[in-house]
Amino acid sequence: MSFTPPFTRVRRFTYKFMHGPKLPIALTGAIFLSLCLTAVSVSWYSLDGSSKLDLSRPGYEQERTEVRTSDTQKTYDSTSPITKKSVGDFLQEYDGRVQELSGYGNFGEGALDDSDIQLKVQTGGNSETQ
Amino acid sequence: MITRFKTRVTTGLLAACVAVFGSATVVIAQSSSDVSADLIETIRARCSNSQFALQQIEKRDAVSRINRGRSYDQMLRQVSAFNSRFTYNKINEPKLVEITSSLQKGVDEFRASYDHYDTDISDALKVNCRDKPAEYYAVIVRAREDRNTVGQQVQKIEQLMQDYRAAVAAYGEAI
Repeated sequence: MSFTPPFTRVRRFTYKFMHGPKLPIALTGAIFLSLCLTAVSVSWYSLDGSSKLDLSRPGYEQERTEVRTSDTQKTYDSTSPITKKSVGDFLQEYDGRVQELSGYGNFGEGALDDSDIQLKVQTGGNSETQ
Repeated sequence: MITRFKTRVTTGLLAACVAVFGSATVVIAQSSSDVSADLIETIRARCSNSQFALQQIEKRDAVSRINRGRSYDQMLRQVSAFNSRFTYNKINEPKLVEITSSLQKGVDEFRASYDHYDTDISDALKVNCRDKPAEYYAVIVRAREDRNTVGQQVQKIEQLMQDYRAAVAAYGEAI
């Protein structure tokens, strides 16, 4: 039994690996790469908060209809002179946006009251909120 | 010398651990003692109903967050373009730029505070409220506070939008 230096063993193994069958290596590589990419994208999706606002998930059918459909990206003129008319036009669109925003929930107080989350304590005949 | 230093470091670390865990225990004990026995029973009895209601609120709030986020982005684009128009025409209106910067910051804070709030709701939905009613209620209390923060951000943005409008209208009248 002869002693083979570690470097030589590694070299032989690498040589066999490189000159061996290519298909299993390619398949393993492809599977490993796809697993890595999937892990990265799922982590990204979860960590950057996209998952919290993703209404395409099952169970959000009703909510999907309530989301404002994204209109085409409007481009705004940023070089024309500023006249009374241009200020008026700006304010008209701006007021429309303010009006639109007033139609959305404003995260006001009260939505998480005990009564809203079914935790109203019943004491005797009267009901009382803690 | 080295042994003494190691002993000091170890003692310091131990003291820090005791302080952290001790304060956490006090906080948990305090939040538990704030919840009445009646409420604990109610949480146990209506655990599923409560979490279902919480889910509905989360869904409703997600819609508001998405719609508001889109509108804010559109508004910021409009406002930035209008500011660029002032710059292009060599008109100095620092107030408009200042309000726009505050608006951008406000929108970023709105997004961040909503993330905190939504994390609270997700945490509450993960708690087994039949077994740990006090813990569940503590998360609800935290979610209420974070939701109020989101509400405050919305009000702040609304105020800034009014300020911007007033500044532009004042400029328009002065032309």
